[in-house]
Amino acid sequence: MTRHILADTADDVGQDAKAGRAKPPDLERDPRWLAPALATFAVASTVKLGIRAVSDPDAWWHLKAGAYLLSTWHFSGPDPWVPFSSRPFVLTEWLPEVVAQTGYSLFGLPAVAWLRCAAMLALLSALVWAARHTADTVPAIMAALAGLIGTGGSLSERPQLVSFVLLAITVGAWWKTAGDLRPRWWLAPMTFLWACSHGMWGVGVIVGLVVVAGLALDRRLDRRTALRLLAVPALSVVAAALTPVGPRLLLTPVEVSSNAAQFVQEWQPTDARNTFAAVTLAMIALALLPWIRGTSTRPWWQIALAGTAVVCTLAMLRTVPVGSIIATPLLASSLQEQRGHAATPLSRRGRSAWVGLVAAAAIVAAPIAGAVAQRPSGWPEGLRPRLAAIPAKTVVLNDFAAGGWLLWAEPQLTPVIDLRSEIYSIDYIRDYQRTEQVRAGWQEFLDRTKPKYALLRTEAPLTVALREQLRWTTVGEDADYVLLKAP
Amino acid sequence: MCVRLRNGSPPAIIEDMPADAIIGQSTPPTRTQSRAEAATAPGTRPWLSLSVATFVVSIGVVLGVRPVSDPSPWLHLKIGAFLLNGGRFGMPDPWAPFATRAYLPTEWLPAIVGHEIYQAFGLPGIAWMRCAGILGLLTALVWSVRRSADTVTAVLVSPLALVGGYHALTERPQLVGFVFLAVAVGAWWRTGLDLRPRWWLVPMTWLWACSHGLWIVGIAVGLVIITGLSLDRRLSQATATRLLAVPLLCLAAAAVTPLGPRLLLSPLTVGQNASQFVGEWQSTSARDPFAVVTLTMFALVILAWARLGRRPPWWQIGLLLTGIAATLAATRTIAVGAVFAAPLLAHEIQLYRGRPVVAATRRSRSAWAALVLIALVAAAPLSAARAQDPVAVPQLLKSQLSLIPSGTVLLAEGDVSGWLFWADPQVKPVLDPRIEIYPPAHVRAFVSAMAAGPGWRQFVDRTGARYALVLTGSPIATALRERAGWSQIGKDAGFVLLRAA
Repeated sequence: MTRHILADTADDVGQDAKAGRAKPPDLERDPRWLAPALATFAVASTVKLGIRAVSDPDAWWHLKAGAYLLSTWHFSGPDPWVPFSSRPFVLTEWLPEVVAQTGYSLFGLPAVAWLRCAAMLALLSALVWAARHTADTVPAIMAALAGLIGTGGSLSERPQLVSFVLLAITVGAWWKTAGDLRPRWWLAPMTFLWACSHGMWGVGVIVGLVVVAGLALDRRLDRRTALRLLAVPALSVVAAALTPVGPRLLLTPVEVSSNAAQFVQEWQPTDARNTFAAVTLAMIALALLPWIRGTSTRPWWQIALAGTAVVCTLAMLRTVPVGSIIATPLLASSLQEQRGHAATPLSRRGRSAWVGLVAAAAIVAAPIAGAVAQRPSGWPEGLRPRLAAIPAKTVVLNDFAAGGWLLWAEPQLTPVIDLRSEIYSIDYIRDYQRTEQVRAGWQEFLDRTKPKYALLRTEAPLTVALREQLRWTTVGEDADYVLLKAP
Repeated sequence: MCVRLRNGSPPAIIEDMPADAIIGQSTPPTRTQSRAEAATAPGTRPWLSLSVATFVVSIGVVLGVRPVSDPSPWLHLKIGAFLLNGGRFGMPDPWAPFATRAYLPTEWLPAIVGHEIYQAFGLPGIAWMRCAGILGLLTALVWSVRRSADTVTAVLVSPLALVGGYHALTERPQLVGFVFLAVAVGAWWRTGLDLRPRWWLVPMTWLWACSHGLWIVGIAVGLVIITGLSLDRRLSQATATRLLAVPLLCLAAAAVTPLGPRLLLSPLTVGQNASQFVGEWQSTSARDPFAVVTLTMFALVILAWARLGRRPPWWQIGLLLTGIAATLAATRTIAVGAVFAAPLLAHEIQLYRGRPVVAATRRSRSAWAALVLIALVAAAPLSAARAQDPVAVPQLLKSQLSLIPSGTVLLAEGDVSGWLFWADPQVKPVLDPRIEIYPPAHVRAFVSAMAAGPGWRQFVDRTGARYALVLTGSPIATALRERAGWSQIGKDAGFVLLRAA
């Protein structure tokens, strides 16, 4: 029978505490100031990283989608903005879009920046919660901080932040289930919320299946327990099918990935030299080292989680944070193992202190966001007057990443493409790419879409070609973008 | 703690191990030299070993015998001919007008050998050499893993490593580098077990340094193993000093090749430009099937360590971490990871099987040598039949290229310029695969020009290129034709030959 050192011992300690037995005096060896200092550092760093101007290319079309939904309550249908799209636009991330748009309409862009900061604080809290089950406060916060750094490449003002928070909670919940074999039924309604927020809800279901499969390999499940545990991911899938988008939501991850995997950078395989991937791989390596050098046999469910973390980290840039989040409790558990005793249970006071600290940080973040995030960063705001002067419905040949910003900033104009790659046919995107790279036949796309203006990167080959070959003229330049006009 | 074998018997002490050595949990099962014991060892099936070996060698031949398709061998053939004719590289470079550094022919030995074989047998000779290199690598891998695994395990794991290292199985000097690397890993693995220095690694490194820049990895392997052994507390000061002398002497040997001590810095010089601009130096995609095979080999080793309760020594952990880092670092170094993974995986499989490792007999060694020899003989007519003509190079454009006036600058796609040197020596490409001899600004401008980015026209004007051999439909081909009025004078193998207006 497999040994489950930490889980078993943690339960023992918990029972000791409940029974009022005295805690061994040397159990918590950390100085008293260390945990509060580390917690303050973690929260302050998160606020520092979280409060900055809105810059993500996706943020703009999410705001626009939120506004669209608030006015129409249509969750899917033909795309209302880009006539060159050929597939329906399904609002799979409608809940954070509505929240962000409501915040934006009340407080402007600082509200979006604050929401990002708040979500990062929630992610830190969820990671600490997931790690705290297997480790004392100090190693738990250390592992959570490492996890947060691992997710760093994706901590932008997008609905995926909600996914990361809910994934951390899900991973923590399944760790607890692996310890006590009790199903966490609340994961099903949480998955409903998750499915209203972002397409990564399926990862939560997969984590559940991985843990159940691992427990089965560990021979810890009788048939009845296995069925009860399997009911949780099954009910989660059902919950995802019941959102306002309907059962078609279940297929949207496949639809999105079929296009995005070919054309979108964050869907490409991970570069192992990427800082965040390197941090995550280092976390997994550190977590594995005590497994390798220790003498106890590791349970399959932990091995399966480690394997899932590695695969997610290496699969694509987009899933590096998934690997990082799954690795967090693994790292915490290994750090705890080095301390030579089981994790002490978290006291109510400790919990309240953390909640108070995070709430204070969120409050402090509000005026800072107001000061630093009034205007977008990295977008050609200086070109807005010229863009506004262009007649409505004019087609603009745009840089792929700038499509969302153009839709949001100048809704009267028609971009040829935007980051919602799933609403365009593969042939259309290939034609766009051929034009973007100025390959043979690049002008065919211009004949098809008939743009009168172009909003492109200053140094793009297409900018050079339009100027040199087709005599387009420069209307204005700002923030590494150039606005060109057809002759 | 002892290793628990399936039959419950404790492991025997490894042969050659000093009496005071600690027998850790990674001690392999019994290794016996006795032929009588070998004959009675459980599970010994000579016919099985022979069948698997024959199958594996056949796969090596199938992989090896194919037309010459890599873009690099043309350049190496040209270098071999140049050196054999008494040519020496310096400034100005004999072929590259835009080079600012003297070229150091670090792979001169296989370049000369390759050229001699080409002179005698033509392109089939080069294809045959590649096949021989692959079989050499397979043999080196089998030798590397055979110390800790029986024949069946060894001949099953070795081809897996060969698949993982598939990117390296080309007609380039690096194949020789990988053969030496597999030998070096096998040697250091043995040192990890018996703590004896392998002094013959020193002359081998001299030969290696005459062949390819991978010799530095051999030294790194030695240092990793010695560091691991120190962490395992298995080294006395005298032993540590003796073992450290091997990589140090290897370094000294690399400094006394005909190229002199400047060879020691060549890996850095090449890496500077290549890591920025050359595809195979970019970081590995985890979706690369050969990276997946290699990472799976490492994953199986880690799984065994985590599940079977053995405590591997630090030197094996060091080898594993270095191998994973090499696999993920660059497409070019996936094969390094595969070579590292082979003995680790074979060792774990052998321990899992719980069968004794029977030392290779002279008969089995002779059988393997005969098998490889037969394969090499068979590969000769096969190469002649399959590799008379190269692929992926514009052979049909040779007649048009030969009409270009001598000394004309030609804008060529980076990879094809090596073939140009060989096929049409009178033209001067703006860049060639010896990327380390060009200033980074020139390489950057070339990359931007090939994408028809800002400054492409200035680059063409500055270099004085009057012809271009570029990919059909590429941005630069489109720009030259549509914007600069260049005309197409030929087309073959995905390339177009353009002439300035």
